[in-house]
This record gives sequence, C-alpha cells and structure tokens, in this order.
Amino acid sequence: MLGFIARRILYAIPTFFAVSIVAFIIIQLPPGDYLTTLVASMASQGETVDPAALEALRNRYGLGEPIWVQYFKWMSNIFLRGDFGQSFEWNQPVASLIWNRLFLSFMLSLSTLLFVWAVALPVGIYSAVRQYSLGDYAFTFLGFIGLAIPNFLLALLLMYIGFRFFGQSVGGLFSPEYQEAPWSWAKFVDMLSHLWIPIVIIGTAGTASLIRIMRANLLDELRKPYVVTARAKGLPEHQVILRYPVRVALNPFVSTIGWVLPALISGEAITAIVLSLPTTGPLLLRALMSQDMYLAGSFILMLSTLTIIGTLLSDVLLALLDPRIRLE
Amino acid sequence: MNPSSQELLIDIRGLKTHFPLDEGVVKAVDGVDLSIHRNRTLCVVGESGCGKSITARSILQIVDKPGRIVEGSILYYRQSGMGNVEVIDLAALDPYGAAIRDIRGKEISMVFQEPMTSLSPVHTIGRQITEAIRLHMPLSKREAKAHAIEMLRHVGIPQPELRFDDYPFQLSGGMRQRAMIAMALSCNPSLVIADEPTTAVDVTTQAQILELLARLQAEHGMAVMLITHDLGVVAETADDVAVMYLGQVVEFGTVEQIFFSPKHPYTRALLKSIPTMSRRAQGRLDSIRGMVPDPFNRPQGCPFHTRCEEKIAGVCDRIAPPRITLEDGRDVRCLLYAQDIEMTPVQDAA
Amino acid sequence: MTSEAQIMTPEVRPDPAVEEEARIYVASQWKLTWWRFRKHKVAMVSGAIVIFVYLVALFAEFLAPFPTDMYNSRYTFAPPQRVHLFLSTEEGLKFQPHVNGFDVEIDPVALRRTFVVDPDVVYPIGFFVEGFSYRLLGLFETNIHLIGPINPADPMYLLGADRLGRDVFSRLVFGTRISMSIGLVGVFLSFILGILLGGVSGLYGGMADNLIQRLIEFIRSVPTIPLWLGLAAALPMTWSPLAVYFGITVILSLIGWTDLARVVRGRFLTLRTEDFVMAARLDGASQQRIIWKYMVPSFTSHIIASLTLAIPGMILAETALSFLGLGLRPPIVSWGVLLQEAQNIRAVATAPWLLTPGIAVVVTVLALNFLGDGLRDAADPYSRG
Repeated sequence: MLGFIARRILYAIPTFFAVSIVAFIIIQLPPGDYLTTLVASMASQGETVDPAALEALRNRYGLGEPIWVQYFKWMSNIFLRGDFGQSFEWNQPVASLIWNRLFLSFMLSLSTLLFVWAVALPVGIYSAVRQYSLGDYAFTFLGFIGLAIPNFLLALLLMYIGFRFFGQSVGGLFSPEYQEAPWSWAKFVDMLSHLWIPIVIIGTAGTASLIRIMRANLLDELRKPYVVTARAKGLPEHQVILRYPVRVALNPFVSTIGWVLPALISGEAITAIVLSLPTTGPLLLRALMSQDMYLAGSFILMLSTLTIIGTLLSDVLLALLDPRIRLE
Repeated sequence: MNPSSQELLIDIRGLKTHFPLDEGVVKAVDGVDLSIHRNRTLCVVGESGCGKSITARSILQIVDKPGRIVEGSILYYRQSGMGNVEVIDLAALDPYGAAIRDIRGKEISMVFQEPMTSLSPVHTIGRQITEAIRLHMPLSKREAKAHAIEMLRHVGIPQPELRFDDYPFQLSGGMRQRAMIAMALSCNPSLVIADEPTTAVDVTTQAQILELLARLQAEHGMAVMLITHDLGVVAETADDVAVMYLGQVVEFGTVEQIFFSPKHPYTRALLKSIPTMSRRAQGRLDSIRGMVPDPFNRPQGCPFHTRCEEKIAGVCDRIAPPRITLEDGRDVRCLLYAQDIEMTPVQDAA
Repeated sequence: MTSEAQIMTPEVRPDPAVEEEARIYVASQWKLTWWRFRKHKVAMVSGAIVIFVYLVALFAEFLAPFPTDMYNSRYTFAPPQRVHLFLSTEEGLKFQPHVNGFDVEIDPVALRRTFVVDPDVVYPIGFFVEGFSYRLLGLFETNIHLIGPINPADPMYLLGADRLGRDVFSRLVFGTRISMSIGLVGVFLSFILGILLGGVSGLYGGMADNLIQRLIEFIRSVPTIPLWLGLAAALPMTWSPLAVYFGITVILSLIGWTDLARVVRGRFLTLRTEDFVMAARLDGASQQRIIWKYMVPSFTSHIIASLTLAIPGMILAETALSFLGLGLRPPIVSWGVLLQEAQNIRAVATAPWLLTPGIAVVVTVLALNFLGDGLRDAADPYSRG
C-alpha cells in the first residue's frame, strides 16, 4: 500500500511539471514581457519607474535571459519563496491575491463533488436495479438534459428565476453584511446558505454523467455470478445488492474522480464568473482580459495542481477500496 | 432403487421454469420430475442448455430475471427434530421472502461453476464465509471466524488462518473452489447443489475436488446434487442419475441402471459418445446426429424425435411422451415403453 | 468424453426465421447499422432535428429577415411581437398576416422604457418577401427571404430585439451557421489528430503508445476552461475575426482530440487480435491493406458515432468561451456571442428573450447526443440483440 502511494506520487511529479510548463507558456504568450507592460502602464499614469528597481525586477524574473532560465527562476521563486510574481493590475504580489480565492474555489469544488456523489450514487443504483422502470426513464431523460445545458446558461436561468419570481439576487457567496467580515461561525453559516445554488449549477452535468456511469457499471455487475452466490447464501435482496454489486461498482465510480474533478473546477470557474462569486473564476477572467499574465498563469498553475492532488487522492481512495489494486 | 419415503429429501414434480423474452418464451425447464434422497448423490447430465442449471437454481428460487417458475412443485422434506418431517413446497415460496432465505445457504447450499467470478473480488474469503455463518447460526464474530477457519481446514486448505484474510484472486483455482465448498458446507446443509464445480479447474484439481465432495458427503451425511456434462464424473460419483434433454428428465434411475442398461435412446446415444480405452484406436467416435433444436422452436411431440434413431414415425412427432415408471423402478420418458397408447397414431398416419 | 453435440447435418428448413437470419448474415455492415438505428425512435427524431439545424445554417441568409448588423435605436430591447393572421377591416376579417407596432413609454421614475402594443399600427408581413440581397449558397444573387415585412423598412421582431435594437431572430439564424460550423471544423481537426495519434498508439504500441497515453492523461487531468481561457486570451487582439475563428477552433481541437484517440486506439487494439485480421495476415496481406481494407471499415461506424458525440462538446466550449468574451468576437455572430448580451442579470431581467440562443444550444446539443448514442448502439450490429 505504501509502495503504491509512493509510486502514484512519483507519477504525479512529471504531470505537475508538464502543467507548470503549460502555465508558463500561457504567461509568455502575449507579446512583450511583464516589465514592458509595467513601464507602459505606469507611464500612462504619468509615473516614472526607478531604473534600479527595474533592474532588480529584471534579475528576479530572469527577463531577457533564455526562456528556460526564466522558467527556472519562476519555478524556484514559487518553491523557495512562495513568490508567484507580481500582478501589475493590482500592483500587489500574486501570492497575496490568490490564496483566499483558491481556498473558496477548492471548498466549492469539494462540496460540489460531495453533492454529485450523494445524488448520483443512489439514483444510479435505483436506475440499474429498476432498469426500464418509469423512474429509470425519467432520470435518464433528466440526465440528458443536464448534460446539454451549459453551466453558465443554468446559472443565468436560475438568476433570472430568482430575480423574477423571488425578487432576490442569487449571486455571491455571502450576504452583504458578511462580505468583508473576518471568518466566523456566522459567516460560515451564511456561506452555506448561499452555497447550494452554485453547487447545483456546477454539479448538474457531473451528476448526470455519473448517474449514467453508475447505472451502466451496476448493470454489468448485477449479471455477475457472485451476486447469485450472495443470494444463494440467504441474504435479503437489499443486502445482496448493496454489499456485493454496488460495492464492486463503487470502484470505477470512484475512479471517475480523475475527470470529474477537472470538469468541476472548470465549471466552477465559469459559474463563478456569472454569479460573481469571490472565487478564482472572475479574477482569472479579468487577469486574462487585461493580460495580467503572472496572476492568470498562477491561477492556471494552482487550479491544475489542485486537480492533480485530487486525482492522486482518488487513486489512493480507490486502492483502499479495491484489493486488486492495493495488493498487485 | 425404490427408496422408502423416509429417505426422500427433494421431490420435483412437473417443474416448469420459463423465460419470457421479447422474441418469445424460452422454456428452459419444461416438466422436470426428479427426486433427491438423503445421503445420496444425484448426478444430472445433459448437453449445454438442456436446463440442468436452471432446474438446480429453481430449487433455491434463484433463477435470473426474467425467468420464473410457472408450474409444478418442489417438495422439500425438512427434518424438524424428533424424527418429524415437515413438507414445504419450495416452488410456492416468495423468491424474496424470509422462508426461502432461511433455507438458502443453511439447509440447501450451492457450489458454483466459476469460483473466480462466483466469489466477490473485493471481499476476503473469510468475510464471505463468516457472512453465511453469521446469517444462519447464532454465533459471535469471533466464534464465526473460528468456525470458518475450521471449515477451511476441513476442505483441505493449508494454513487456513492466513488464507482467511486472502482475496479470491490471491488463491489458485482449486483453492478457490475449496473455499467455495467450505462456504457451502459451513452451516451443515442437508443438500449441496454443485453446478459443474470442476469445469473451470484442471484435471488433477478436478479429481481432488470430486474426492473432497465425496468425503464430505460421507462425513456430513448430506445429499449432493451434482450437475455435469461429463459422464466420466457421473460414473465415479453418482448413486442416482437424471439424464436431461431440452428441459425434461428423459431417464432417471440408479447409476447401474443408466450405465448398464440404458433405456432411453438419448441415454444410449450419450453413452456411445464416450471415448473409451478399450475401443479400437482407429474407430470413429460416435456423435449424436443433428443439432439441439432452437429454444424458440421446440419440436412437436417428443422433443428428441428429430435426432432419435429409434423414432416411430407418426407417433413420436405427435405425442409428447409421459413419464413412465418401469418395473425396475426407473423413470423414462419415451413412447417405446408406453403400454397403452402406442399403436393408434400409426394407423392414423398410414 | 463430453456429450456436447456434434454438428452433422445442418437442417434446411424453409422457415421465415431462417430466412430472416440469412438476410442478416449477408447484409453489409452499413445495412445492419441502419436497421438497428431505425429501431431507435428518439435517435431518428434527433437526427431529423440535427439535419434541420444544419439546413438552417446552410440557408441562413434566406431564413433571416434582416442582416445581423441592422440596428434601430427606437426598438432597443423591444419584446417579441405576436404574429396575427387576420386583420379586421371595415369589410370584416381579412387574411393578412401582420405584426403590430409599439408605443414607447418612458417610466419617469425608473427611467425605463416600456413597450405597449399599438393595435392600430399594422405592419403587414409575408412569405418570400424582398429584403437585403445576398448570394444563396454563394451562387445566386437574390434578395428573397422566407419571411419578413412586406415593406422592408418596417420593424419585425419575432424574438424581440437586443440592446441596439437588432433582430434577435435574424442573429440567432446567423449564429447557427457559426456555432454549427465551429462544431464541424473543430471535430474535423480533432478527428485528424485523434485518428493519427490513436492509430499510432493502437497499431504500434510500445514506446509510442506509452508516450501518447501519458499525453492524453495529462490533457484530461487539466481543467479545460481555465486552459481554454488562457490560450484564447493569447490570441492577439489585432487578429481579424476570421483568424480568431480559426484560432479558437484550433485551441478547442488541441484539447478535444483525446476522446477520439482513445476510441481509435481501443478499436485497433481489439481488432489486432480478431480472427479475420489474423486470417488476412496469414493470407499475406500487406500491413497497409490490412489497416485500410479490413480494420478501418470495421470501425468506421464507431468513429462516426464518436464524432457525433464530440460535436456537442465543441459547441458547448465555443459557446462558453464566446460568452466570457474570450472566444469569437463581434461582428462574428455565434450562439455564444449572442448569449454574451445576456451576461448580466439586468439585461436578462428586462429582455429574457436574449436567452433564446441558449434554447438553441440545449436543443441542438441534446439532439446530437441522442443521435450519437443511437449511432453508437447501432454501430455494434452483432452485439446483444
């Protein structure tokens, strides 16, 4: 088991570097480097830049040096000093801008994942056990619709419904009085009461596809001989189904986290933009629009890293569930 | 044979288990009569698809959907202490009800064909055995574990304390089947149904498993219903034999009766198709003429008449043979042995 | 030692079931696929919808009453007009399809314009009317439109107007062309990448397979929208809308090819060990011949099904990117660009009809998904009957 985890972590390292290279390329893609943008934006405000400070920055990011040196400096700054670079739009270090939002993004994605599982698991089991029943057809149809509606459209729709019929805005994660307040229990409770709308919006598509996966897996498992064995033991039917085929079908279900999580984080970004949630999405979009590339690149790097870690955890969870993987 | 009713354990009469499908009804079991006696081994033989397994599963009411018992009775003579015998019709019980679940795994248990797929891949052997024990016996967790380890030792698994925590994929095919047998025997059943238990293992292991079954039967005094398509296995293990063809038992008798004086043309054809050492090496192996008919398109009259070498034209293709009990006590479903109805249809046809 | 029956004389029965079976044995793969597909009612209906949508894309100029950039500030956020079939005149009811004009009232408190239908102002409308001129299918110069006001200067807003008083219906029709074509072009590019890399992976295996599989895993493990956004934001603002269109398509397919590659690889892997491929190899057929003559035809239907299922992903991705303002840019009109108009809640609240492109997205994606599912089921004619 420990060997398995160690191997998985080892696999994750090259993936992380690949992600960091992609993020770095995205930072480098727009014409001109960070300093030219900085000088231009300060000049437009009638300020001048101290040449010595400019030189210091040039050294820090290795600007003007070969591209791989720049990459190396960027990475070592992140690892050694937690320095993600400078956001010229906010005139602040990127590190001071991202953590809070990343935390909320992470919370939101995680809650959505739990929601998706909590809904998809029982519905998938129901659909498989009662295959071709009215309920099965209804869920299948709902599932198709869930897959066809883009997140942002669902968000717009809910916002419109909330505004039109309930006269309230559904955006944001906090009520106005808690917006700037420090974290407290009351703020947490307030967040929970706002959280369900983005969770439903982000989770719909994932729930729909997971229901289909769970249903298909379980239908396969229900035909396996070990189900008959369990029945022949004299177990009551619900225990037969829950203890054996459902338990086995759980493994591929858990392994879907590898692509559900990236999809949720994607969906979180776009939903957050529409609902203007204080998470990474809106800031990432703004950074990209204004070509504030260190900020944008850091978001992409961190979101992808979170995904990698999530996938890693799901692999470990899978190994715990499935002895065939654990003991290979 | 003609055993006294004291020894009767299971008596199946006119059992029909059908599968209604979109394309039509598959009559997998279509009028099976057979009986199983205490302390005896019954072998059920027949080609693939003749309804052997479905008959066995009907006894425990674990036929896969959409199959269900549509007719007939499965009388179970349950010994309820102090020599009293209680008769239960298993076919009439609710397949999901508590009554049949009490019997499954406790009084009648089953050993399946593929030990790899018939055991859950994600639970340990020990867990799967103790589950059955705890379900039917008033034992604590610890006692159940001790009992399970005892059973594993009993079926000849070395180091049962260690194997208890193994998963099925960590064991060899033979060991897996032994574990399966340990599970089936753990509640000391009066009948073990073994559905082709040796098809998935190699020949050496096959012999060991059959020996094990025979030894356990002698020690536990239980009945065994062994389903197989291997006549060699039948010759070695059976007390009684039921020969099945297209969902019916065509001949039912003791092993001596079946092997030394087969009556039904199908039984004869089956026996002729066994390769033997004594036969001349260059001789062709006999095979049964024709193919098993399409399950949706069963022949009229006797189901075997399309392939029978002794069929009576105008009779066998019109009249479904009834069960005929011969003087030596065996049952046969063939018009060759019918006393009263034989001649009239021939004149019809002429 | 077993008694399994030997086949001696296969009986010949003049039986309808047998004839049906014989029909199945000689039918080509395409016929089998079509027979199975025909049984799938939902997929058939979806197929009809998809054909309809592509026809709309093809004949956009003919179907749209107005050009996309025609605006009229008098009709900012005008609601959809009801089409009346009969006109009451002094002589009684007369058949004359028409829409009514609006009186614009300005709410002095909220400073909002409200439109009140004025039944006295009648704008007659009709079929095959003259409007802006265009080249039908790029061939014939004409100015006939399926539907429109008989006097081209009259307003007609079947699906309402946007913030510049442009006709949402016309823009929706033109948007269909861009959104559907992005789906096709994007899938075509992913298809090339997918079949190349998936084919190499499945045919040659070994090192190449390993590398390509790692690449696929990597791409799939990255959250797509941030990545798309990052790449799309890098497209220079100075590019022409057409260049942006192709840029976006390339970005979408760079990320979207992985599923197709998986399907192709999986097919090649299973086919490699199939008996008929082995037989061809033993017959001495060349590698090229085996691939193109034996293997590819046997999974073309799978590929078509996977392609159909890939189009919705492309459409949704384009819509999302354009909606966020990092995809296609005006004056190009796509469903996503149109939905950008509905980005804030105030716009949606005053003009909910701006969401109609969303309905088009959902219906099209739904139809493509059902169609793809039906095709995929049908592509396995020998699978469980």
